[in-house]
Amino acid sequence: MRYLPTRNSISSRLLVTGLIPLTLLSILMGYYFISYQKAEMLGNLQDTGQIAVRQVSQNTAFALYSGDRKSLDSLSYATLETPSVAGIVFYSYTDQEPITIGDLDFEKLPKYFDRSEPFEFDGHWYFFSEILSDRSPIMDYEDPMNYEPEKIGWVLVSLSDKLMREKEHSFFLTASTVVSFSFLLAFLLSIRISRTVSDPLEDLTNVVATMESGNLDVGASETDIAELAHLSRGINGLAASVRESNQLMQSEINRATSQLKVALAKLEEAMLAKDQFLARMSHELRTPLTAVLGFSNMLFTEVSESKREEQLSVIQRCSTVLLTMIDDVLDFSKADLGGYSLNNSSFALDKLIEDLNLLFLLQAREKGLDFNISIEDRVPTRVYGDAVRLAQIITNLVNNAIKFTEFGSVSLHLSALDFDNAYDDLKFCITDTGKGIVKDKIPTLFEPFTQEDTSINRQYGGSGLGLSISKRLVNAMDGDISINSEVNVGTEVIFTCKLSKNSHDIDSPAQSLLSEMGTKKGKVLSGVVILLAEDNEFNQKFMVRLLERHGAVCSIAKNGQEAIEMNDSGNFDLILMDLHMPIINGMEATKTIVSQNDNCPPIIGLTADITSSEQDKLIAFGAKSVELKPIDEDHLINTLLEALNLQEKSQKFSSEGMLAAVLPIEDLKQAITVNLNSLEKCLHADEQASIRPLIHDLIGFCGLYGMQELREIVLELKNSYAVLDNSKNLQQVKRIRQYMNQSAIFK
Amino acid sequence: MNGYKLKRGFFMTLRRAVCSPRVALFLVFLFAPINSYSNKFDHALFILSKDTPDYKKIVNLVTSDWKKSKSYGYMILIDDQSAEIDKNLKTSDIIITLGTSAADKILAKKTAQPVINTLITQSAFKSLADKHYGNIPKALASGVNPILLDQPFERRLNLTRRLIKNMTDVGVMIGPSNANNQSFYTHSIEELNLKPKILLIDPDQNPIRQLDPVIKSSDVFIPVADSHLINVTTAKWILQLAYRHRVPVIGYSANYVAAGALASVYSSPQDVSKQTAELIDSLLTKNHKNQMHLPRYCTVKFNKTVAWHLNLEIPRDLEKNTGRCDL
Repeated sequence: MRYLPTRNSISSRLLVTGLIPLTLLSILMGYYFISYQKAEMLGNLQDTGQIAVRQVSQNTAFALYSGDRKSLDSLSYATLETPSVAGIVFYSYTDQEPITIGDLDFEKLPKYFDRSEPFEFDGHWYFFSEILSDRSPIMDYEDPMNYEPEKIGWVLVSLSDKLMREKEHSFFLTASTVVSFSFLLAFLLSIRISRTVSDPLEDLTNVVATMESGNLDVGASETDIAELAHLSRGINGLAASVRESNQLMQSEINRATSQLKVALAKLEEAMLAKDQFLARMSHELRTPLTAVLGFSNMLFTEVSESKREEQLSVIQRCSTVLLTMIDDVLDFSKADLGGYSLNNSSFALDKLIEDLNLLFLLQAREKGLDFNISIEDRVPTRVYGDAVRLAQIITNLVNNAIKFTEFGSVSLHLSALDFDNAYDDLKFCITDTGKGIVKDKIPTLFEPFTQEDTSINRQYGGSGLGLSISKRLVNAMDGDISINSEVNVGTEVIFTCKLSKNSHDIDSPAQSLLSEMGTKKGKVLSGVVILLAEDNEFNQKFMVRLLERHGAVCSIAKNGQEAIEMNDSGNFDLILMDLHMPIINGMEATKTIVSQNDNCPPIIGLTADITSSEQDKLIAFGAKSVELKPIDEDHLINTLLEALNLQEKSQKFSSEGMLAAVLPIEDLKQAITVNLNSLEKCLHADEQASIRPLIHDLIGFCGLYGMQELREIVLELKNSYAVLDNSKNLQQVKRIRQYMNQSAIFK
Repeated sequence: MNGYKLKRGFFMTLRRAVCSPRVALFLVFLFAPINSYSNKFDHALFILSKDTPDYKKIVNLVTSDWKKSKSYGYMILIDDQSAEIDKNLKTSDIIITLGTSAADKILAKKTAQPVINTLITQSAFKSLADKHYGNIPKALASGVNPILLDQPFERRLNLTRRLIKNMTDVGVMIGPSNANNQSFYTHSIEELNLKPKILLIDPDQNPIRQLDPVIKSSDVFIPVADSHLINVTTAKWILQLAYRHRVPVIGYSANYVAAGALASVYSSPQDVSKQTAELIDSLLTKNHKNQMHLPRYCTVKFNKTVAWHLNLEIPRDLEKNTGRCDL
């Protein structure tokens, strides 16, 4: 694209810049030469006139003085042949009569004129001169006397300026032509010069415009003008840089786009999984809830005691399932918000595994599966860590293995990977012979709300959070988890964790609980006066019944304000403060009560809010601790005992065992019965290899359900069955059956 | 008749004798006083009318031998050193003027010292003598000794006769100063059996118109030096008219030859200095008488170009003796 020269263009400016001085110079030169030539011609005319008049005056002196007209004419005509000389006038002082020769009208001339200078009149120049007679004495020794030449007359020579005018005109035309050609030449030169600069600039502008439109492949050609060549190199360099930047940016965009696509796909998958999870959870929650509601309604009308117990048993089981589901969700939510905080303590690993074995063995046998546990010798028997979380991980993984295995076996193998000075690096390997998992789905299994496919949920149920929670717990223990699986062959789940070697004398609460499973329930809160601040009426009844069952005496405040007032007027040993109440909430009420009396009763918060910030805040206001809803009875009672400094009681307190809330007592009774039947068979058949695992299972059941007396009877059998004969061993089995029949637990 | 003729012839001869310059000079000499000066002049004052090489040459030639006699000359230019003249006049024994202006200055002072006026024409001296002394004899009596520039007319006539063989008409121009000598010139020409055409020029008339008929009708034309006015008015026209009419002119100066005259008889610086030196010596003699001195020496000069144009041949004897005056 060629730019038309405009007033502001470089080419027009260069053109003007070059043209103006050249034009002025041409005009000045022309004017100067014309003026000079005019002056020169006038000077020549005047010189000619002066020479002519001088020659005439000198040559004609004798002829004029002698009155020789013939000589005068002859000399005059010779002078008249000189170009421009038009006429001559002689005047003799002797004759006093003008003599005119040539084209000159003496009568028309002005009578008076400056004789010392030539004058112009009527297109003619006139030159005057006196005609003098030299008066030389022609003596050899002249005296210094001045003999002025004698004036004998004068002569006036007329020169026509016609020729000069013609020459002047001719020269003017010539000069004008030269000036015009000079101007034209200057114009052409200016254009040439301006284009020398503007053309490369226009080319560069076009190149830049092309680059601006996106085509960076064009290059600016270098000219022989150093500055423009430098500019061209700069533009080419800039284009290369921009091109490179564009390429880099494009690759970044492509990469980011692909990442976004992946992220979007993952998000879509997550959203899909979440939707599926919600649908699943809805189903999972509604199913047991329907049973709870249905059997609850039936209880109002059912008169048969046995059926009422059966209905209550169903309700309890369904509630347990619901609680498990909710616990999973809350657990995951808690981990999602702030991660898991491990409650580490020293515990007996071998005992924990032994107890879990009983639980899994029961489940496996229900499905007709074999369940085996093997522990490497190097594995320490006592470690420092969170026993409850470790049991949770193992339970999740083994439950999954049993759940997805239809036949074959499930095994747990525990080994020690490495030992350093501070930690025991343990490896847990759960293997099953189940349906296996498609390899592509394995990475997604650890994602929350994800199962291999939706049919699994429909078939097997579950929240889909088990593996996700397990992975997070493993990570919290500085370990890792992985899955190896082959479809229709089986699955192997391996996880590792670091457990400190530091030994502690005091067992963890969980260990206490497990070890004290056999402790009988008692009214541990006898005589304790408790102020319950709770606005919800049902929760009031529930809490009152629960606390009264343990011997406590309760007073109810419907809101924070009442709690403050009642605390002022009453003498309470402890306050249970719900956080969310009308008028004054539990947070403010706690703050007020603590601030009013330094010796105020200990305050235990009650909340369904699992966020730690609210709990921390309440504790900062003076509460001893916070209990989460739904209420874990044992935990609550233990917490109350601790708050009331009744630690001794706390040590002895245990509910029906840690699995009591998980597995219905009827199932336990059935499991123990099946186990005893199998044990009797083995004793009769003297199958020693099968006797020991069965006895171990019995010990585990007793521990998990807190049946300490029964556990001691089973332990006697374990310690003696190898040395006793079968009849004595069978009597021991019979003794266990009798205990079961007499025990209130199984009634 | 014869007696009348004799008587008339005697008177005519007497008249011619009295009217001739020689006789006039003789008479002046006769009545001139006799001077008596010391043996030598210690201080001679030269007054120059003009600072020209010829003037200085004359002074140098005059004083060239004075170192032997321990005399010396003092040269002063008249125009710019009037004060110097007055200062040196008192200490000078003799005053020598060169040119008419210098003579005018010194004669005006009527000094007691002897004065020699050189480079002055007879008409000029007469004019100055009349001006300052009343007449020539009084001037001479006052110790003035002029050495005239005017060569005797006979010398020029002799030269003319030897140059131009077949001439008959001799034109002569004289001015008012020589008006009284017109018969002398006529007689001198007639003695040579030539026909004189004497023109007494009138200064108030157009000189060309006076000269043209005389020159046109003459075979040779001889202008006689007169007053400066006459000389400057006529010299140029004489030569132009002579050229036009192809008439040879016999001049009275070297410049006349250079300007177009065929030949001239004149006083060269050597001639003047020699006569001046002789006059100075003469002044020291007891018998010296103050008088006007005609040029004792002369020099002849020819213009060969003019001669060639006029188809004249300069005689060899004359050509060999160029610069010598044996006329």
